[in-house]
Formats: sequence, structure tokens, C-alpha cells
Amino acid sequence: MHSDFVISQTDGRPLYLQIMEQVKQRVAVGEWKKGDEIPSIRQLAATTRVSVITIKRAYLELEREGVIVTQHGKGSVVANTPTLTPRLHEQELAAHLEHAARIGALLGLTPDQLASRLRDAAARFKEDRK
Amino acid sequence: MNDLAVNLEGVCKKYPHFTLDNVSLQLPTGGIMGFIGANGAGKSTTIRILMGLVYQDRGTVTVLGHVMPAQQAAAKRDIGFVSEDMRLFKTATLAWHMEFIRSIYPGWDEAHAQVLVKRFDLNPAQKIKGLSHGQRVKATLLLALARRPRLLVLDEPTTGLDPVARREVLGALMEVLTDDRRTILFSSHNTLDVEQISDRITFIDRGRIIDSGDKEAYLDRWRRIRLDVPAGVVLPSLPGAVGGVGRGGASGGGEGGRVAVITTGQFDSSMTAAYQRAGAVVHAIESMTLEEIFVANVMSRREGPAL
Amino acid sequence: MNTPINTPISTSINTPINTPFNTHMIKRLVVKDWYLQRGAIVPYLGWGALALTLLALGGEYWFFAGSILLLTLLIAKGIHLAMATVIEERTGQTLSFVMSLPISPMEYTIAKVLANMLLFLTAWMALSIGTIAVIAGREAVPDGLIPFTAVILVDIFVGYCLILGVALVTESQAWTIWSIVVTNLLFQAVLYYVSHIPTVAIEMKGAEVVWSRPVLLVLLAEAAAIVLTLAITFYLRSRKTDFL
Repeated sequence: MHSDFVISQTDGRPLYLQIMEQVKQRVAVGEWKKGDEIPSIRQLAATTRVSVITIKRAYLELEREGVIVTQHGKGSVVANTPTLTPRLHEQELAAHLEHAARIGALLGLTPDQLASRLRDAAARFKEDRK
Repeated sequence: MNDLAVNLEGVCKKYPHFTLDNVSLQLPTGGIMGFIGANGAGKSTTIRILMGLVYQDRGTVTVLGHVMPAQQAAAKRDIGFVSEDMRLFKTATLAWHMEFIRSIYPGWDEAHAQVLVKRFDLNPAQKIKGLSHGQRVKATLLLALARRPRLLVLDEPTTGLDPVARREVLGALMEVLTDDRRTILFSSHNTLDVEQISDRITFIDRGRIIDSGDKEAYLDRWRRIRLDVPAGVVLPSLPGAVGGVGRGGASGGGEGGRVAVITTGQFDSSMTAAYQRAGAVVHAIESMTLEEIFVANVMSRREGPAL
Repeated sequence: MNTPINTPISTSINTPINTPFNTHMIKRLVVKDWYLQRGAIVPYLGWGALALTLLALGGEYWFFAGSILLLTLLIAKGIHLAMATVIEERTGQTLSFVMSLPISPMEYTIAKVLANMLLFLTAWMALSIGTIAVIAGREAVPDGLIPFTAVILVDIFVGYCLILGVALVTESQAWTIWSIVVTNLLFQAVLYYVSHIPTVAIEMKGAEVVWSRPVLLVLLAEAAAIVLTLAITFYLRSRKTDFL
């Protein structure tokens, strides 16, 4: 029904975040399409060997973010909202930018230097696509 | 779904060298509770009282709606109990044990038993005395799981198992919970397992319950705060902090600054603010694994808060 | 149903709620002990047959040897049973497995006593009847020996009940071994006492089977001892509060 979730306890990030990310990954890539039923909380708990309460928390957060919709008593489905994919990409971009900012700080770059690096990268990307 | 499978209130039991003091524990149906504590903390005693095999001096014990120990025979019809020191009959085979259990419990599911035999890689024709430790543990678990009891009470179910066997067992346990009318209580030293699969965690030390509640909320409350403490700054003493302060600085206090690591079980963003107001610099705020929380908790209780 | 937190639990928790007793479970446990002990009885019956042969065919010396062998076998069987069915459950750590079954501690005690009685009496009956038959059938052996023999055989059963009782109450190997020492001393004492009652000493050598008053009184005392031992065992077990 779905490719295996793989969670790692040495990852460092809380388990519920890992679950959330793997759900979002499947939605973004198209493995789980809009309206598709996703595993029930208890089913996913059993296949990933993660506590029901953690899966529940992940699902609650995913619902809050608009990625899934839970119908009371009937399980959960991938949300139909058209803004889903762009929203996921927004989040991905935000995460990458934060990461870049952190590394820039480690390298001792100023915000302007960092911004110019980004402009260069965007220009290169545009070139490669031609 | 919200009734209690296990309810202990104010349970006390006195032994010459150990006392269980005012133990209270609630486990809702459909949940799984990890019960952790150091050796000798009282896990096994609590579990035995829960099973009606040790009578409490005071307090009430209700399991699956039955009062314990008076109604233990009725309760045990729906409980699967496996403890680490439990042994099967050496001279008999696993098949004999399976038949024995089947003759007692109407809930025995032969098809499921065969599935478990394959999954656990066991040979029913083998005598118990020929089994390795891990095989014996799995065999005992099989006998409990195949009858699909409403409540599983497991005292150290994965102790001594190799990683593959442990994974099988945890998988089998989590599968139990796909039925939300079934409940699991297990005690374990293996904090990784407890952290991963428990809905609720109960923490016992020296005969007293230290903490009992929702696992996610529990992990959220604990943080390790790394502070850079410049010279002359005095850190406020905040509630819940079971600290550890480094002795940095060339002259051990006075001249240079020092590094402080505060471990707290009642983390709140106001704590960081308080430390910053006092003049310390927050270097990092880290989540803690259950193992780290466990050790910090027990050590602080033994040494006294050292802030 | 809700005991206030600070009042001690009354002893009524000791009485099983499911009276009458769960006979299905008791039967299962007795069958279980039978199954596990089925092999152990064979050597006793085998050597017992040898002892009976010596009694049946031997001259004075071999007859005496046969009687010692027989009594030893019966005493040993009793010890073996108490150790293998009760103490072994502790040392072999199978007690928690059994106690996890849907039984009350009292049902466990009942099943254990029943299983032991059945297992012991099988051997005891076989060897006792064999012995009496040999004495009655054999010309050379005076039939007057039969009442005295009955006293001894029942005395062994009394000793066994005592050892079993100690094993069940203390669940300790050390205490059980001490009880073996004590019952053996008592056995010797009874043997001496009864064989030295003047009337009995004479009747033993006669061809007639005489159930004299002293003999009947001793048998009555032995029966009372059996009942008392088992009653005390059940009572003390019912007062236990820790089963693991």
C-alpha cells in the first residue's frame, strides 16, 4: 500500500517530526495523491513501531498545516487544498534558507555576501536549464 | 476507549528492606505504558501486585474492572503475563505448552500461533531445555500473544534479546495495539524501546512513582540548557532544574567565566529568559532522550540537586 | 468495592470469588503435574517389583532386605514428589508461569495437593497391596505381621503429608529437607514404639490377623495426623500474601 516508513532514533529529531516529514515527502512526490486514504493512526503505529500517541501528534500537526484531513471515525486522507504543493515547497525553501543562513554565519559571511551567493546560484540554475 | 485497563491507587507494600510507597498508576484501555526504573526500584513488585500475586498492604488495585487480588482468577483470564524470570517446563516441548494453554483459554488462535511460530523462528517440537535464552523468551511471549489477551503485562520483555529478536517482539507488540480494545503494560531497562513505542511512561525510583503521564508531554518538558556564564554572574535557582554546573575558569570561580549545563524537567521559555536576564548566554537548548532523562532524574534524587 | 486508601485490606481477599472452585482449572493443573511426573514413577515401580520379589521368595535375610528396600522406595517417592512438584516450581522458576493462569492461590494449593495425593497413592497403593498380598500368601511369613505392616505403611503416608505440607507452606528447599529429617526420626520412633507394645509384639509373630486396640488406636492417630497436617497446610497457605 505504501513504501515503508523508516524512522531513526539516532536522527536527533523528535519522532513525530520524522513521521510528519515522511508523510509530506510522499505527498510532495505524488506517491500519496489528493484525496487518497492514508494509513490509520494505529496501522502506521504498528508498521513503524512508533507509539500511537506520537503518530497521533504527527497527524494533528499535519492536519493543522493542511496536509491531511481527518474525518472523525473514518480515518485520514490527503487534503484536497490546491495550495498544498506550493505550501510544501514554501516550507522547504524556508528550511533551506535557514540552513544557508546558519552556514553563512559559520563562514563569517555578511547578509549581503550571502545574498550575492544566492543570486549567483539562481543565475547558474537558470543557465543550466536552457 | 477511555476506561482504565489498569488502575492502582495509593498502593503500599512493606518489606524488611524495601517499601513500595503510595504507588498510583492509570493506564487507559488501548494504550501502552512503559514502566521504567532502576534495578530494585519496585517495578517487579508493582507488577506482581497488579497481577494479584502479591497482596498489597494498602491501596486499591483494579485490573480490567476486577478488584485485585480477590478477583485475580477472573482477571487473569484476559491477561497475558510474561516476566523475565519466568521459565517454562524444561522437560516438555513448546508444542505441549501450546496445547496446554489452548486447553485453558478459549481465546487461543491456532492460526495466529502458527504465524508467530514462523515469525519468531521457533520449532514447536523442541524441548524447552534445548532452547537458547532468546528463543525461550520468544516462546513464552508466543504463548501469551497467541491467545490475544485484552491486557498484556510484560516484565522486561526484550531483555537479553538480540537486535533482530527485539525488533520482532516490538513489532508483535505494536501489532497488538491495532486493536484499540487491547492494552499493554511493560517494564524495561531499554529506554530506547520505551521511548519509541510507549504512549505513557511511568517512572519509579526507590518505591515511589516519580512521574507518570503522556510520553510526548513528558519528553517535551525536559531540556538540557547549555549556558555560558560570565564571571560574577549568579544563576537563579529555578524549579525543576536538576542541574550540573561545570567548574570552569582558571582559578575555579572568581576570575574566568564558566560553563553551566542545566537539566530541567519543567522547561518553559521563561527559564531561558530568566537566565539571560541574570547575564548568562544561552549557548544551546537541547532535547533529551529518555535515557538521559532517566539517568538525570535518578542521579539527582541520589545526590540531591547540585545547583 | 472501593476500599478507602488508608484502611488495610481485610483477609476476605483470600477467599476466591468463584466458589465453587474452578474445577476445570484444577483438573488441568493436576493433569499437568501427572504429565510432568509420569516418567519419575517408573523406576519406583520397577525397584518396588524387585522388593516384592525379595519379600515373596527370600529367606530371612533377603526378606528383611526386601522390606528395607520397599520402605525406602516409598519414603523416597514421597520426598521426590514433594521436591519435584512443589520446590522445583520455585527453583525452576515455573511458578510465575503457573500463577499467571486464571487461578486463585487456593486453587493452586488444591491442585497441588490433589496431584501429589494421586501420584503418591498410585505407588503407595501398588506396593502396599503387593506387600500385604505377599505376607498373606506366603506360608513362611506370619499373617500376624499384617496389622503392624499396615501401621508402618500408613505412617509413611503420614510422613509424606508432613513433608508435602512443609514444602507447600515454606516453599523452601532447606526447610523441606529438615522436615525429611524430622519425619524420618518420627518414623523410627513410631516403629520402635509400636513393635514394643507387648500385645502387638506377640501378635506380630502369630498366624492370625489381629486388629487389636493399640493397633487400631495408632492407625486412628495416623489418620488424624494426615487430616490435621493437610488442614493446617491449607490454612497456612490461605494466609499467605506473597506468591512470587
